[in-house]
Amino acid sequence: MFAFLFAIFKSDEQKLNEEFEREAVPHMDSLYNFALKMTGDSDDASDLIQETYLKAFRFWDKFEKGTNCKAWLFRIMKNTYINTYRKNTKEPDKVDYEEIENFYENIKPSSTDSAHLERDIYDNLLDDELSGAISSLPEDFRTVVILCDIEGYTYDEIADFVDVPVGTVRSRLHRARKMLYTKLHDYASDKGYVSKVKIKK
Amino acid sequence: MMEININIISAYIDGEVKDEQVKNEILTKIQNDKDFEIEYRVQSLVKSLIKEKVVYQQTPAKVRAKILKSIGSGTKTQSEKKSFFADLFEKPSFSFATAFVVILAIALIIINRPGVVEKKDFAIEQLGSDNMFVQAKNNFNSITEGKLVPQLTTKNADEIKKFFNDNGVKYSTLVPNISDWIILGAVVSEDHGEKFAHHVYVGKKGELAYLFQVDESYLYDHEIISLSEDLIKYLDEGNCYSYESNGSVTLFTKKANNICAIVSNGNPKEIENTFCSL
Repeated sequence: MFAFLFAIFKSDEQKLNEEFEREAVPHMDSLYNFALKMTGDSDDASDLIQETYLKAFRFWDKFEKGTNCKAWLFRIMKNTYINTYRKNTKEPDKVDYEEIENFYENIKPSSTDSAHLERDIYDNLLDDELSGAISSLPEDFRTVVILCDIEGYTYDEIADFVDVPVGTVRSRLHRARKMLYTKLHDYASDKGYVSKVKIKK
Repeated sequence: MMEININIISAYIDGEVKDEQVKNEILTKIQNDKDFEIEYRVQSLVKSLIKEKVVYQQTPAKVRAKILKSIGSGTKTQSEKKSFFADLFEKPSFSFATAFVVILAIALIIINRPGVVEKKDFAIEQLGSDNMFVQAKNNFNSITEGKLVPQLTTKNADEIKKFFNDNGVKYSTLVPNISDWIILGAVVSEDHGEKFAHHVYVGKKGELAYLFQVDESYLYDHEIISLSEDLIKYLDEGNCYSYESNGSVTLFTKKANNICAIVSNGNPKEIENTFCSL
């Protein structure tokens, strides 16, 4: 009798394990990239993805079959990140967006012929520099950029994932790209490709 | 015509505006309104740069293996325990005393095990043309004999990183500026369709230092390039391995996810001090 119950228990457990490997494991690279951009450090990213997968495995029976597994894993990772990593780091969350907007308006090309928008200027930009610029964005903005421009999520999916209305996703993305443009402009002016801009106060 | 907020440009670029009429109105605005056009170009530029420049990284092989092992252990633990200790005690032929003797024997074997050698001669384990150690030494010899010349000659570390990036190296590379050493140039090699990063420094006395770096996942796969597991483990623990032969010194060290081989004809001690702490 006990052997029979043990066999049932074991087969259920094995089934869950197989399901997890089939549905959750293929998203590992995606999650690792998200972790890397969120933490900005490969060791922290490795720890974060390990914690995420262990939690996901532990609660796999709570996952609603047929729903978006990748989004479920992302949510676990985001919560783990908030609980474990964010409180340990000095998060530059409080940004003076007005200042950024002011800077953006100053560097924004006044004419569409402006060299500032030429693709060639940014050809020398490296992955590290762009990743650094993304990592330096405030968390809410960083999250939407990663999910939209790197992971290719739709606005509806991002809204569901970060639990905000679609309109907020749209405006955060718009602002995030403006912030990134100011950082890329800084990079280009440091390298001497465009002239430095003095901010009008 | 409805009032269109400039923020909608990002949604337009992302293909999130589904209504054909609204799409046409946005397009008209972009064509006729300078602010809209600039905003469109700024947003498109940033999006395309992220898509093109951000390298999509694979989960490090070691991390992947750890995760899979943890997941596997969740289901295997019970059955494994049962198959050994549980069975041992359940069998009527084994008394408690027998089990005690077995455990005592295991303990004695563990206690009397020879001490673990911390640093052994890893060089003798490195064999075969696909071995990273062998390749690094051969490449260095080819460089000093003038048979292998840089595909890019520059002193600029950023240019080297860009060269690696542009030529298909899929992993993040490390090109540090080192005091008293000048970067000479770089080579991207190809093996089974995969690209690998190599670069060379020259010292004050004209000595050369060649750096060959590989993402550790390639070494775990063993498909294209290999390195003995002992040496990988030694590097994983944060050690730097040094080996001298025929007037050259070969170092192995691990930085982030990359295993780096450095071969030089410079002073071994100086090379070790400089390159082990990159």
